[in-house]
Amino acid sequence: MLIRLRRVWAVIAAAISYTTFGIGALLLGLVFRLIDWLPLSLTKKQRWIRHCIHISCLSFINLMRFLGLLTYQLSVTSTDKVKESGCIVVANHPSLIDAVFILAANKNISCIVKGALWNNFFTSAVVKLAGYIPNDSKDFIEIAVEKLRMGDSILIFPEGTRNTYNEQLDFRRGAANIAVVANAPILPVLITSNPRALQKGEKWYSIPDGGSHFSIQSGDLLNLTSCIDVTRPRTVQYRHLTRYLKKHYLAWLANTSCDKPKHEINIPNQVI
Amino acid sequence: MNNDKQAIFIKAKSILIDLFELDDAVIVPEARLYEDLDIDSIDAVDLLIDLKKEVDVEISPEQFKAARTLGDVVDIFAELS
Repeated sequence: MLIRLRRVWAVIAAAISYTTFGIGALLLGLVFRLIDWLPLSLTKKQRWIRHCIHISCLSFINLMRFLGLLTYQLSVTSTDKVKESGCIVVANHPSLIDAVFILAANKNISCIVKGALWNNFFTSAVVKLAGYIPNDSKDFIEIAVEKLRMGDSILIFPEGTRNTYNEQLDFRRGAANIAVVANAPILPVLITSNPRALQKGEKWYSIPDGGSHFSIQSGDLLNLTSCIDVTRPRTVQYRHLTRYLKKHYLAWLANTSCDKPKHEINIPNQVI
Repeated sequence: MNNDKQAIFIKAKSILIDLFELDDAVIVPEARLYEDLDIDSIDAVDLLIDLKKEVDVEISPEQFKAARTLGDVVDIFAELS
């Protein structure tokens, strides 16, 4: 009975969360259109808009925590604290809300977003006015490089879509393309959830029993010269850097699972 | 393949190995640039630059974009040279 109630609550809580997100995005879009109308510099307006997004994302994950859907631990160096301005934040992509966590940890960051969000009814105003970059624009590399040169940091998920298991890490070359052309450092972020939640292909109401614990941590800043041979042709660098990142994440994941306390590691039931 | 095209093919092969660390064995005229050789549109920019250094022709990115296979690339360059 209790389990059934908990499951019902999880679905209700999930419905509240999705609805809040949708309405929130629409409201933010309206607010941002108003901000955009003000006679201020583009930079200032964008900074306000991104700060609003940051506060909203932080509130959203706190709402999900309040509703009992998840717990989280955010140990991410905000890009504001990174000495070199203009770094590329990369992260693996296990769940639906990965970007929300990273935006909750950063006050002023641009994002490479799925082209679909550019025209989506709920998100289009937000992504455009925040100065995000659509990944299907044929100049997206140039746009990203220019933003980095101006000091903006950019979030990109090298996998391009949610993975179906942690070690899949099917990294495409987009992040490397930008990093090499801009000669920008990379701040890697690792996202894990235990158990895995909000995965690709799952029903929207499919919440693990008892919720899920999300851990979001950033690693040391990676400078290109310490990862690859930058004297090689660009196209070779793209490939080497992408491979380097994949190996980096595989090792990171392996280290992280070693840290799991014993009671969190699933031990199959002994059948007598 | 006639001699001109063969010459272009050999130059292209060497560039492909340099730029993309491809195996000799996969570089054949029928090889599709994207599906078989994993050359995306970003890579194609650098490929075109290096090809133009070796085979001095006037070719626009739009003309180059039409190429699907390595054979197409060789044909386009052969026609214009």
